[in-house]
Amino acid sequence: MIKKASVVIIGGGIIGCSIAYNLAKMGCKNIVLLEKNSLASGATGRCGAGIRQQFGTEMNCILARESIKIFENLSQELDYDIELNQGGYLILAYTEKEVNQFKKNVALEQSLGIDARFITVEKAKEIVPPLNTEGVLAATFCPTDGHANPFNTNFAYTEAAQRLGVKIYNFTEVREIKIKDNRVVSVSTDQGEVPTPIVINAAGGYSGEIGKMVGVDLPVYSQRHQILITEPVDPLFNPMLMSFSRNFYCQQTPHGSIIMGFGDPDEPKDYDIGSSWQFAREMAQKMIAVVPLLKEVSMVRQWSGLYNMSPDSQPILGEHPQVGGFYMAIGFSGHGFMLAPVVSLLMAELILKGQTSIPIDKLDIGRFERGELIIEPSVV
Amino acid sequence: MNFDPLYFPYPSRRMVVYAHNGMVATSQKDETIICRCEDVTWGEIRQALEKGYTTLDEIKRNTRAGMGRCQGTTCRRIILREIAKFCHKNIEEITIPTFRPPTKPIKLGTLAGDYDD
Repeated sequence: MIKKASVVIIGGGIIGCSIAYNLAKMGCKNIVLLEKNSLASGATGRCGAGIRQQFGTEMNCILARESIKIFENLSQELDYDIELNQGGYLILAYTEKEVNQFKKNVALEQSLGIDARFITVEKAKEIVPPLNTEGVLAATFCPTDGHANPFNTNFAYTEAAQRLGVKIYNFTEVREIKIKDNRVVSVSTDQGEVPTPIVINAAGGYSGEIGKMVGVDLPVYSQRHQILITEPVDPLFNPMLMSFSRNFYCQQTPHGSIIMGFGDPDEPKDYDIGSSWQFAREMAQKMIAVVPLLKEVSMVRQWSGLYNMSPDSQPILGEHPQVGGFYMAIGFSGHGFMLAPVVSLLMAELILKGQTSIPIDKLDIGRFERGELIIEPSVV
Repeated sequence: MNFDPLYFPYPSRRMVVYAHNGMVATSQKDETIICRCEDVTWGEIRQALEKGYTTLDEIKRNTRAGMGRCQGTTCRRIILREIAKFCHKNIEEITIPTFRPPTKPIKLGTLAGDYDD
């Protein structure tokens, strides 16, 4: 193993790999990335792959908007096709409360330069002809939202980082993080030890375990989210279909397969990543009600992954106040993939320059103690 | 009796030997299709191996091999064997990815229609 590192990143998902790339791009040398399994084996490779800008708080809208801007040029920048498809997000309102919330969201999004609009049921049907509009009161649509291939994006960042000199160790498990005078000094793995002044916790579903290694209790927990995918079929609809009140998201990928999932509010807080037939059945029932044509399409595979949840469903970014050199990019609560391009850039700025081009100080870990939680109304 | 040509109970040792004897010569050509569902060629798999993706999981994520309608029933063993060859290991030492449900594709309509608990 390498003798000494200037930064050790824990986690070979999209967050870890994109931070490695951005640090290296800004000139940082001797970056090491540790992954206990293989790259994209955690939440990134298991995610729903959607990218949206339609949020209900100003900060989330700005972060998502900047992330899309990076996504739009990412295939070129990293020299790897990430299969970006901007088919939009069609978010359906089934309740009066949602109608009111969506009007507010769209006003906010438009004020921030996001091309979102509040549309009628008829217009929604035009955008997605096979949509069953029963119960739909209105919808919002943003044509620049969409989808990218999470594997390709993860590998694209990894390979670009490697070209810039980042050392990536697969199948290398972190065992211990050594602290001296309240500062990180080294990381021990099953393959050896690396002295380093900076550790970045990008361990996704397992970030809480990494926190324990430096003796802090991080306010995050993991929760299983299940997904299923169908065989590839002819193009049926282009945008991601989504509803908060009916709790689903569903999109046809450029490859033709249709991916769909929902969050179970009764899911226990643990590391289970098994699959259940109850999920497959409920998912099928939910989506057939929205797009009846889907009853003829076959499911070929189902799986699950871990959401790393924070108390306010917003990421926790920045250095830990009690452990010098211990940075966190955790608790993405299901939005890690879509936010990775911008968050990784900001994390690299924070670590190398001490300040960021978009303020992320509100996303520090101290917000929970201060009681300054960020309440985002639009999450699944 | 219903005969389903896509049905293989599990990758038995005999099947591996058969695949080895029967297909090894053709899989050396770059344009040979290894994963028939996703049209993945030997050339693409070879490139993934050469980049350092030497587990079946990584090759699957990199090339989509084994992610199609038959879920790797056909190509899994061929790729396993090629990984073993590339890494100079025995085929038994190569980790097999999780087998995900369902065993065979099932219509969403069929799934949704089953209300029995």
